[in-house]
Amino acid sequence: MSHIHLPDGVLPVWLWASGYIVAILVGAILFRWIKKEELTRRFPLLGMMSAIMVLGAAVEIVPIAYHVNLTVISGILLGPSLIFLATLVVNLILALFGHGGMTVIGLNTLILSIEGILGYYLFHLFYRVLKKVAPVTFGATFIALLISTLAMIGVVSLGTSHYKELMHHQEGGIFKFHLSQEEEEQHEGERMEGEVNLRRFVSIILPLGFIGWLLEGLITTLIGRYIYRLRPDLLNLEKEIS
Amino acid sequence: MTIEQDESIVKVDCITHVYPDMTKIQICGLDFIVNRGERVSILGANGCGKTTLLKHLLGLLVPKDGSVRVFGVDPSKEFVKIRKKIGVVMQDVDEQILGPTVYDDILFAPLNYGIEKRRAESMAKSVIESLNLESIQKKIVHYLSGGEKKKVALAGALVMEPELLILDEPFTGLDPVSRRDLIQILNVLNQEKGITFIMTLHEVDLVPEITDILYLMHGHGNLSERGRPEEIFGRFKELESFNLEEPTLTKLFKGLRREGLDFGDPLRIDEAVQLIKRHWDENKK
Amino acid sequence: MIQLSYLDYLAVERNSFFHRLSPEVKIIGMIFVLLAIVVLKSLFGFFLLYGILLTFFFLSRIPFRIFSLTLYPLIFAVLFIFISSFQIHFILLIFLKVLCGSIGVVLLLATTPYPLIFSTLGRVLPSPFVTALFLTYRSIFILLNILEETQHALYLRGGFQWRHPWRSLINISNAFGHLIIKGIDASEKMNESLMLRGFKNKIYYRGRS
Repeated sequence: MSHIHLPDGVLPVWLWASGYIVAILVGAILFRWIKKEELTRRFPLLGMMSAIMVLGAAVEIVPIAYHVNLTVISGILLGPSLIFLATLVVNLILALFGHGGMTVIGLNTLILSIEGILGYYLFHLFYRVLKKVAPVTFGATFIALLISTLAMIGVVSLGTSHYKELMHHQEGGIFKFHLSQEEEEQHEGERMEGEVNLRRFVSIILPLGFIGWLLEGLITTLIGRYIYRLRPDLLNLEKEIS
Repeated sequence: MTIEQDESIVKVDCITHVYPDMTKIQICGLDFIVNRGERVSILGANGCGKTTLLKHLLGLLVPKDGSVRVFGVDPSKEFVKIRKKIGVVMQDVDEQILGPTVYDDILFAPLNYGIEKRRAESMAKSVIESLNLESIQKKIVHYLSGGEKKKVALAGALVMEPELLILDEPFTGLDPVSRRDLIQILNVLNQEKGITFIMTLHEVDLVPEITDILYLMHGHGNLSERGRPEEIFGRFKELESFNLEEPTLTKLFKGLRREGLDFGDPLRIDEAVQLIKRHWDENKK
Repeated sequence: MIQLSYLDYLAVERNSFFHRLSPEVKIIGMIFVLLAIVVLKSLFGFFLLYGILLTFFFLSRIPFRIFSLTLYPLIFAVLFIFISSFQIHFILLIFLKVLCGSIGVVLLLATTPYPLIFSTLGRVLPSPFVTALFLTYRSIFILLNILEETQHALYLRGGFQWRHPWRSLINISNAFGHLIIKGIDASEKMNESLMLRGFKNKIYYRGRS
């Protein structure tokens, strides 16, 4: 699991609303920034790579809900500005399939686009030094995914006070609900130790993430090698060679 | 039908194109000329440069040498000026059909060209009626069959009422019924609206059904023959040198001739039926 | 992946009360569900909401196999329970929030053809974004055929075997590489087609962008 698609209802409103605002702002700036002719010319590629990412997310490789993101390879092929727009499109479509929440499309986009944008720059930077596609792709993917996972942890940690509120909010709310007197007493007991434990969350995410970064890194490397053999022009490496 | 008005709308003069993998296609030999109202087919084996020629006509490729003129302009520089006059049906229609539904796809070009919505809708309605697409007009495009997709692509190309229709292997992958339908539609369009066709083919049997002028292409773009199908098939008894087979009827009537039954060289079923019937009637007398 | 095209098929071919409701009503309904997810704080409220959505789900005659799709986000929700001290209340709350959200969107997508959803969203979203959505959806279905054929070929030719994990990983990656190259080829053809048909960064649905 290289990343998690944040679901609805977990994060505080201010956090996902900020995610939306930032993502929309960045998206709007990019739509304006990219020349109209350039956008017209690259629209089909944007659609096609977004479709490939959606299909990648829809194909589970092993029965632990692992799927490839293909964000880094898409970033390398699309470039840093279009990959942002592509992840925005992908997250909306995935959210419609129940894969990641509707309210957190903005945040999921920001987190996922880190992989694509960083992957693109790291790939070109590493290639300038190493000149070998396979290790460069692996390194770029692994680091990009590591950073995006850390960003996701950062985002989740920002909601600490909200989780506390959720944990301690059994009696408030629109409807009151009492399972039983005993349970309520049990909750009272838990409340004492009911603290948000981010360390435990991180200690689960990081090892799972590590497996994901390795798998995604390997798959992206093999895909990169395949593309390099068949259509090296797509990787835009000429400028790094010259 | 043949309209010998001799008003050439397409002229290609020995062009060279080099692909990124260094494959060089030189469309040379004869000049490629198409007159208004003609149904022109280019027959050749896979990879001989037929699609390359069409892409040059559409301004999608820029020739290294030579010249291309379509409606008097160089399409690689000024295609925008002539694009409303040209309809295209590509080989892979999947990538050509872009609207969410059949109706939207047919409306695609008129709305993009800024035609007022009501007029665009009446244009779409008219083409839907003429191609009998009423029953599928609301369908989402990825649920269409191969034949339906070809028809929708054709409708999308015809909606702007083009003067020239360019079709890249329009019959590939179609079942016999869809193929027959498409031939009929194209011939009616040519007869009733005078639309000029340029199409690439490799189904030799279909050529006589849909062609006034036939070009033979072989090698890497060598345009070696131009003429009416009966002239060309008459002249070239052995089409193997072009990596093409003889039409089935030619093979059949050649076999009959070897057995002492000389009916001539019909290229179309209706001609063949008439010839056999005439011989039969004469023998009965 | 199969579910992806199956959902689309259900939206187009089935005909329940929910299928016949206007997309605007369904999208507004979905917004209310999301609002409830944010606002509701009691378990009873969530059980009630989930019960209502489940009833809607089965009333719209969506096959049971699609229901599994609504459970998928639970995998991610599970990670969040590690934040708490495994309080049953917190776990139930998180799970119900996630389930309400996922059943809501799947209900929307399984009863509303995608052009209707995108064109309704197009009233508030910028047109280049809606165009990107339309082109992506079209591309998904162009690529689905290629992906399915590649998957079958991998399976029939022994390309995926647990006994040979490394070879299988290479084969799967090559299949994705193949998909990407085919996709890029298709996008080039699509680009030519857009150019020839006067594309100006807009895809229209029922005459609306």
